[in-house]
Amino acid sequence: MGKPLAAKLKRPRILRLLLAQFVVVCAVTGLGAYTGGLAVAVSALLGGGVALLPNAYFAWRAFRYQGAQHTRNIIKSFYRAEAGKFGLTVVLFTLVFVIVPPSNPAFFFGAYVATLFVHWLGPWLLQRPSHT
Amino acid sequence: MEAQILGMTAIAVSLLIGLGALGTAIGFGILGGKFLEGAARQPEMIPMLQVKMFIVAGLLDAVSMIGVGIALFFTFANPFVG
Repeated sequence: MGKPLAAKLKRPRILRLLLAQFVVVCAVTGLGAYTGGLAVAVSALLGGGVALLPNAYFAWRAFRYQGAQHTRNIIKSFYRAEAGKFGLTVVLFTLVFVIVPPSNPAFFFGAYVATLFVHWLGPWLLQRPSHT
Repeated sequence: MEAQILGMTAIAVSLLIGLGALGTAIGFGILGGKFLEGAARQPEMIPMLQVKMFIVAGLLDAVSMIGVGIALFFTFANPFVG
């Protein structure tokens, strides 16, 4: 009953935000490859990946429910999404530091912070197209 | 000396992760409450409120996530220990 109605609602353009984050990861990785070679590029790629994956999970989970009849489910889903994002971030950071320690922490955290701060562009990237 | 540095680092890491999680939790509690309030007042605005909540949530947890990253960096690759 709820699903067909939710499918009728226009989905927000979350993919644009994730795509913008992916572009930033690629840009910082390219900058790292240009300035410091492969090892620095891998550090930047790992930093960007650690930011991008939990954010993609958060976006997928947060918009599972839509519509006025799912208000409580929206809130529950948001809280679960945030908890999952927090846990996933901790796990990914731990995995990176244990398995592939970044050779250049500055580029690692630089890529991480740059990818996170793409959210500042959210109001612009997620605006709905006007039909006027 | 090294044991003291490790001990202080452990306290710093706990504070970074714990206070980051606490701040995010308080922020999300307020955000969720305001969303429910707005949804009850104007149900037709729910899709827009949901997108706004997503944007604010991303900004809200950015700083605490950076804190978590730095805390885990200190845990696994402490730069203060030679």
